[in-house]
Amino acid sequence: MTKIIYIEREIKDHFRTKLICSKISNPEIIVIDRFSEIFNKKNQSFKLQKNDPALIIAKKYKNLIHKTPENYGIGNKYNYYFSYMYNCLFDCKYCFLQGMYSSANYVIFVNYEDYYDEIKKISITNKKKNITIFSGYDCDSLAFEAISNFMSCLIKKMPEYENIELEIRTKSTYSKLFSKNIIKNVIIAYSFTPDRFSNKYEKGVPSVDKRLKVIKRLSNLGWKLGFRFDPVIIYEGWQEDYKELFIKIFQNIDIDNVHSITFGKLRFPDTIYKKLIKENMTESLFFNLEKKKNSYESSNENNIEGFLIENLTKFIDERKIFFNN
Amino acid sequence: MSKTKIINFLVALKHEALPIIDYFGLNLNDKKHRNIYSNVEQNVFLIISGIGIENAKKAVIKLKKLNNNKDDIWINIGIAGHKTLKVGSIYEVKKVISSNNENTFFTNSFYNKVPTSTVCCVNKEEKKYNNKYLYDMESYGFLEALDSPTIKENIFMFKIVSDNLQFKPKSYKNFSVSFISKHIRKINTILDKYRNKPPESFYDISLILNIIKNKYHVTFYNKKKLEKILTKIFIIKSQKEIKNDVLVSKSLNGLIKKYESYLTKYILKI
Ligand code: SF4
Repeated sequence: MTKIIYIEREIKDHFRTKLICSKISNPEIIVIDRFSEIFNKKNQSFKLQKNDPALIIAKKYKNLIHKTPENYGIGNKYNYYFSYMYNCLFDCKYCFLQGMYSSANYVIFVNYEDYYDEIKKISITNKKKNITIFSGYDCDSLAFEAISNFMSCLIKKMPEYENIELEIRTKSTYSKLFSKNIIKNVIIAYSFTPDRFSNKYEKGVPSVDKRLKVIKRLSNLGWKLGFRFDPVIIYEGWQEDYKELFIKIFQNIDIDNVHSITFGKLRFPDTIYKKLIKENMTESLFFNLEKKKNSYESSNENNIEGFLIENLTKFIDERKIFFNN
Repeated sequence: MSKTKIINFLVALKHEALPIIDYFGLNLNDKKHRNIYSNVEQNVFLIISGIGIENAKKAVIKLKKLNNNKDDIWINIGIAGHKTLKVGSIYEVKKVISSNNENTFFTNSFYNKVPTSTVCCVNKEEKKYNNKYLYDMESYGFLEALDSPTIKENIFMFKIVSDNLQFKPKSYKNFSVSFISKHIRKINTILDKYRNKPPESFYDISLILNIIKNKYHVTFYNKKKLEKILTKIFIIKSQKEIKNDVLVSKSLNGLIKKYESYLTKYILKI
């Protein structure tokens, strides 16, 4: 666990800063002015920092919630996303964060109330619209929850915002916050790749079986669940492994609780790919990505879309399946 | 190509250098540079900068002329004053401010099992200590000169408390020799953790490139292209196979095309 903590002067005495620090044994604290002094600077190496990430506690002033790209969604027309944290405890070899930032240190913004207020504002100003808000873009939504407590506070507020669905996307098994009192407009969305791939390429991510155990409990309680196969990874034997994975998941849960399934190819915008490849020249996972207009992505030859639709509809109504590209 | 990164030490004074020279078996190798010591086999270099920010800056620039690799490790070791901290204790410096300059500099962000501190770098001996800082006279110049293009994760700084309000050593010279000697093994153990280069740096691409150059005329553009392609091909083919591909190839263009198509058709094996 991280030991070095950089703290912005302004929130040095914030109760949440103190709470977070109290959960880390004997931290070494360095006071800074703004997190941007040390985060995502030119001469930093994501790869080297990832070996021993430090924690940066900061305050976010603007751009707390963003609109998603046009065609991104799970059924609603209006979609937003946010991240109360940058970077992730896990280390997936394909993670786009390594192409987005030059720094792997964790940044956590402690002014949670400002995020909650923004969500409230969106709910109030869009009363007649159905909206989805996604969390877990620049981080895993729950991997840091034992320390941050962000989602635990947020989900308690969600019943007030009936026109909003909150998607909490994760690969973590942390589930303390999901009690018997289910919250109808919260979707807990689990990302999966097959075990054989995950063991090798998703360092720190709990095994498929461990995650399924948690999912089964949540399904029994009646929580709405999402399944995210994004990215689908092409490798020798991928089709068999994915078929097996689908059986393992969908034969073990109450299908009625499945809110949605999304999937997508392994893909990166140009700028992210170029940065990512610079530090991962020899990573064979990226060898066969094809150059498209503004991106690099898996080849169409593999017919990911056809294969996934064919095999997922064996379990789930096609209207609940979304292809993100 | 070496598998370990170069270490460049900067110290202000000769007596701070002595324990390091001794520990790493460094020699004055170059008559032109009377303040640079090295053990070329071990990839360790040391420069004695003299006191002060400007001298530290100049020393880094001078050593950079010898070693200017992006992944070199740079380390400043020295003594520092503090209001209350125990004399002889060691701190890893993560942040440096200066009494006269606006900028703030940072070193690596790793936890190395050594307590951390911020240094305030001053131009002349500080009389009034602020309890928050260690005080020295070189750190700012050292980091300012390294600000680009050295990777922050390769920059280290260790300071040993030499004096506080209660104690001043009788001889700074003896103090430095004795306490840097005491901590140098620990510092080396820390540096060792960061010295290994990622394996991709030492695939013998140059050997294959030479074979190709012997067979074909290789333009600068194609050389760069081949370097990129071969870095990847080395992951999926053995050196023997690659040599053979070059030998049986009929043109350079044909060889490049063959490898490009090989890579796009490549299916990941787990
Ligand atoms: S869990 Fe998601 S955010 Fe975390 S490393 Fe993996 S891909 Fe990146």
